[in-house]
Amino acid sequence: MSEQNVILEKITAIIRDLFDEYDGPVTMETTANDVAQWDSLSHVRLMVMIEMELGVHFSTSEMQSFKNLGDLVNAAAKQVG
Amino acid sequence: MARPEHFASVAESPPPHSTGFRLTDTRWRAARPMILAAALITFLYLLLASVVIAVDPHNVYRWGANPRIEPDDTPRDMVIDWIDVATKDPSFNTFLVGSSITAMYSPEYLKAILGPETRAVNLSYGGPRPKDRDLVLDRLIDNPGVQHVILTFDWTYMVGPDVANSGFPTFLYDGDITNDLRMVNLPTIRKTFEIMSGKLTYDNPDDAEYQTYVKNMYVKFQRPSEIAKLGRMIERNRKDIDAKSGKDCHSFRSVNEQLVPDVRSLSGRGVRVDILFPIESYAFYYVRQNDISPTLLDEQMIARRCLVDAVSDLSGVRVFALDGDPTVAGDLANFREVGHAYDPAILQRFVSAMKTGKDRITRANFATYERDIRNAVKEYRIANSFPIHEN
Amino acid sequence: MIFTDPIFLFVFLPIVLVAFYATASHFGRNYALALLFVASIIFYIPHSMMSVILLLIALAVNFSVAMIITKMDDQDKNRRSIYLFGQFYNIASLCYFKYKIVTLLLGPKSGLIVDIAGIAIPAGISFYTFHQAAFLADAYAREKNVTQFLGRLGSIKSVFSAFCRYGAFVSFFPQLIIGPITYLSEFNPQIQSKRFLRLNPIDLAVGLTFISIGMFKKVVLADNLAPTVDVVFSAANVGAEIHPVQAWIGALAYMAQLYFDFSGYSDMALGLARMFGLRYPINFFSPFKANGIIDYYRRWHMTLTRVIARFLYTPLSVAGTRYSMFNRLAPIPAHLLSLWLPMLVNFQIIGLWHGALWTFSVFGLMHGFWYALETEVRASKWYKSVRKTTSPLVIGFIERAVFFLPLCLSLAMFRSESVAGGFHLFGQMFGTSFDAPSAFNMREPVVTLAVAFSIIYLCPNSVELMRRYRPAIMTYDNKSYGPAFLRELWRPGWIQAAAISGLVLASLYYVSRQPPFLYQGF
Repeated sequence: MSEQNVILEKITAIIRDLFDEYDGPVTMETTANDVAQWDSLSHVRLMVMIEMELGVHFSTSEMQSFKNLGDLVNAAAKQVG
Repeated sequence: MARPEHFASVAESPPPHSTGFRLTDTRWRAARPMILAAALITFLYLLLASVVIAVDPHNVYRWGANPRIEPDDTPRDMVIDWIDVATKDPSFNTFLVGSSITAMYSPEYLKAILGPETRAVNLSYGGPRPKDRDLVLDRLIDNPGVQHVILTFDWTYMVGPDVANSGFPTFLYDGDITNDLRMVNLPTIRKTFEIMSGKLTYDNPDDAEYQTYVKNMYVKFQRPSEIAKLGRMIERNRKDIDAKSGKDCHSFRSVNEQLVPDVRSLSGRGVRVDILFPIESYAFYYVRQNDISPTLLDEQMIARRCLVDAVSDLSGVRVFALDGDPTVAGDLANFREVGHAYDPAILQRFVSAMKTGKDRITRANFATYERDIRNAVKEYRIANSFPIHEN
Repeated sequence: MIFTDPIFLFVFLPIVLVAFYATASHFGRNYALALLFVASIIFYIPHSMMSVILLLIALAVNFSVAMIITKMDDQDKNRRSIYLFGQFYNIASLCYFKYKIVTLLLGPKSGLIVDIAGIAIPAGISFYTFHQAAFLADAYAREKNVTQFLGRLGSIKSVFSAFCRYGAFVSFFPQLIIGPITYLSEFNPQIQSKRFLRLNPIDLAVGLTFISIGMFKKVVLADNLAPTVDVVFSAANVGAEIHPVQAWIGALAYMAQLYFDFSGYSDMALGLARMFGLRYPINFFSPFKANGIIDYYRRWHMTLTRVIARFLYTPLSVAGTRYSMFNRLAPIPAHLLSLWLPMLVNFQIIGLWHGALWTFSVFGLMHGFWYALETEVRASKWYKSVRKTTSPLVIGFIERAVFFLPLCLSLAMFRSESVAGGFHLFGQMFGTSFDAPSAFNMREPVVTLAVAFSIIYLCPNSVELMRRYRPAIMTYDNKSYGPAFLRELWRPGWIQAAAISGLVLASLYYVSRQPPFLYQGF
């Protein structure tokens, strides 16, 4: 579980940087709908930034299949762990 | 696209409902008006459709009533529903298959000029296209009583063989019976009930209304302001008027694949076929090159030449034209619109030609005819002998 | 058959409905779905026998590939090749039959293979091909619905019944010819549900309402604008002088015609499916009320937008973004690679998806540039600061005003018979041919246009009207625009029944005139 927390923390930092107008909470349940700036273009940027930061790799269909941040964190955790 | 849809909440599946008897009952009660309305419309439509098809008011089937067009009737645009009524009627022997340019000829008029043995029906309707023309001619080919067919060779033969007039009920005359339900429209239903009450003939559409329409059109067209506008247009379009289209006889598929074979079949059966080139003013080519084709004049001349070539050797087939005569086609006073002659004397000359054999176009004189028209159109300056001036 | 044809509405549909619910209650789900499959093939036969054969082959190929790759082990190296073979078949048949690639390359008179391609474009091929390509991708990704949908596949009988289910999924007649392009994850849960197969009278009422509204839109509104559109665009194609007012009427009439044609189809598709207890993804949600091209594509042919974004735009954009971020490109080249290039390709494909014509290509180019430009503007600091300081009402108005002209012009290009004809029409719209002869009588088209645009901008769309009954699966989250006080809720009652009867009778008045839907050509 702590692995997930570390990853979520790193992702939170990226999200704060990328979506500078958003100041709501970032949790495992956060979805794109919660963040006004989170559109398809920034979604791709976010994914690639996370890939670079964590040293992981997502397939395109994976990127489109995450239902919330939790899915994303779990998928990243699998690769990191 | 703006938001990754899989990241957004996916459409939820419907929440489970109890489907107990009571709930179903209230649902039926709620939905009842809609379902009743739909059932009623379906039932009425099918009922009317069965009545219409059983009575067969357009005479497209072998069963049903035998309606007829009165021998002195000119149905004009209404005739599109009644092609079978006319062509299955053995009392007619002469069929005028025309367009708006021949819509004014009544059967008596034709009889008076062509002779007392003429029992004519006028199958002219506005804006025929190759596909519906072909359907009409096919019906005449199947009719053993036909002796004389008069055809107009309208510019619309330049379009492809699959093009049909958008108002023409091709569904009545094609081989497909599944689309016949489309005939169940208000006029047909009304006609069906008339036939059931014993009235087997068709009402004559209002001739007076048509006369007024044509006359108003003429007066409006002859206004000096209209003629002046036309003159300006002719000058604007003059430089391209005799541009070459690059077309040859193979270009006109509707002529080669539909018209010529149809004429050949009629001729082979011993039917006389007279083809009329419409009386178009020389201004016609300047105005309509705008919306028909930039090389209208060239294409029309080539199409006419190809048709004359193709039908000249067929027995009983003749081609007539009046527009080689500049006193006809060069004077706008004769017209109610650039492509529609109005002057009664000219209209009479057109029909008389078939009796006297004058104004014929043959392979031998076509080159002269073509050269005359090309030159006349090219050199055309607006001319109008109309006496009245705008007040 | 087409939806507005009386033989479909009054003969085919009632028979299939009764047969479906009777089969459902006596023989169960598999037989009911098989019945839908067979009925859909009968529905398709009038389009041409050749098209039916082609559809059955496409179904067999995709079903076999899906079955094999579902059974195969992930480690098996052949799995990917078999999957790619399936997709190759889809793309190749589309290129061959829709784009007439052979004819384009070899010219029209080069022998036998060309003759096969010489047949008319099979109706619906671009829709059912995309439908099946998306399904194969789901099967390859082991989407959980696929396994459940195909079932155990132990015996010949179970394979056959799975094939019939698959046939119903792809070729169900309400969506066979013009979509919506549906994912299995939307279809499968519904047919697995216990509520499926149970006759719910509300489904019938909702379905009938959709069918009536859709029929009215198509037959009364769109088809009455068609003659004006035909006159203006064919005149533009031969380079005619057109009075500017008439040129504008022509362009606006086409906007409204296309809108109501597709909207009418989409309503009828939703309604027909709903009568069988099925909901489909929404394809059309008041697109002309959009505040820009981005919003527009979330409202117009949404299932096409979504499938192309999934398979084309996103992979391209991911590749471009990865490349530019790993290589630390400067912002401008980075944007070109991650946004502009993928966007232009995306819209070029959307344009050409409608057919191999230059007008569609120019249309795609216009929309690609526009979409990318709007994305940049909306991301800019300037836009964000303007948006903070200006009233949303003013912004909404300005955005729609800016949106309207390019939309009108790009759709005019889309309709034009040639690129030159399209530009000629633009020239006439902004030209001075006040002397041009009148091409049509203006009174009726102007009145119809006024009615059409009032409906477009003021009325709720049919999904909003019926929202109480969740008429469709939402493809995107869309805001409802327009006057809220007009957004009445619909419920099945006597007044509503009288209203839909009125719509149907008005449509039946034009029963003799049955032109196909515009999207049938795509």
